[in-house]
Amino acid sequence: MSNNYLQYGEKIVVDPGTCIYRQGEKPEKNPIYYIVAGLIKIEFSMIDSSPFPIYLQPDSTFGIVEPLAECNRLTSAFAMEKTMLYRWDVENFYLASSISWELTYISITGLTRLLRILNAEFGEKIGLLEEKYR
Amino acid sequence: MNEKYDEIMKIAFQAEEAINEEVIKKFGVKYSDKQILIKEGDIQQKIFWILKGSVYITRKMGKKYKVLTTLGEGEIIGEMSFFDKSVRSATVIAKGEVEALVFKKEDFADIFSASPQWTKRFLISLSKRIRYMFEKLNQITR
Repeated sequence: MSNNYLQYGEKIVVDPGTCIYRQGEKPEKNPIYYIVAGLIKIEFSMIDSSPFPIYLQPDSTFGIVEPLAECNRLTSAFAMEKTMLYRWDVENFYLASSISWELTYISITGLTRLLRILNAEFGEKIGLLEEKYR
Repeated sequence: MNEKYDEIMKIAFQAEEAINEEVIKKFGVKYSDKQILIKEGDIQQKIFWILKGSVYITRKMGKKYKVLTTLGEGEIIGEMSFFDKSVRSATVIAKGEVEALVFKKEDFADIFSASPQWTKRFLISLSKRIRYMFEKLNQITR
């Protein structure tokens, strides 16, 4: 995969344990991230449950939902290893994705996977899963 | 370039403004009340852009369908299995008369590769839906 979409933003390196953003925070400057190398844990907590983790590997994007849906961070993001990220503000992210189907595809797939997880969680909460799957 | 390709490019660059009679004739499909657009469990690589009317997003429970939400004009549906190689996770049923543009994967890739507008529109649509699901999940766990 060529990384011609890694432009118009900046590369950053974070240490293990670094909190990239925290659930409930207002996304300052609306950054959207792409994992160049390393491992990121995305964690979200519902009111009555313990944090639910999702691990993201290189060539994944994260932090897209809040700037685009104009809300505070819905999840927290932590670096689990020394991690290299590429970061855009919203406008530059649009610019980068407009020249790259790959970045668009990665971003859409990331969002559809998250939506699928949320739908499954929701289905389970409202009792859509059959007893045999529990 | 063939005529169909020209129409795709027109949609890509002009978005809503490009939806004219010609486009509707090529990609438009009309559904009657209670007609199924997407069936849970199917593998179908089509994506729907609702132009008129609204649809129920449902899951089958026994012999009945439970309505999860309703989506209307301007919404894009069917994107999850389209991009994520999953079987259809819900059944989508027309709520009254519905008119939609129906694209196959090869059409949509062309639209995306040609248009920043579509990319933006689609990412925002998905993000809003995710935000909505977070809110719904928080509501039912209170």
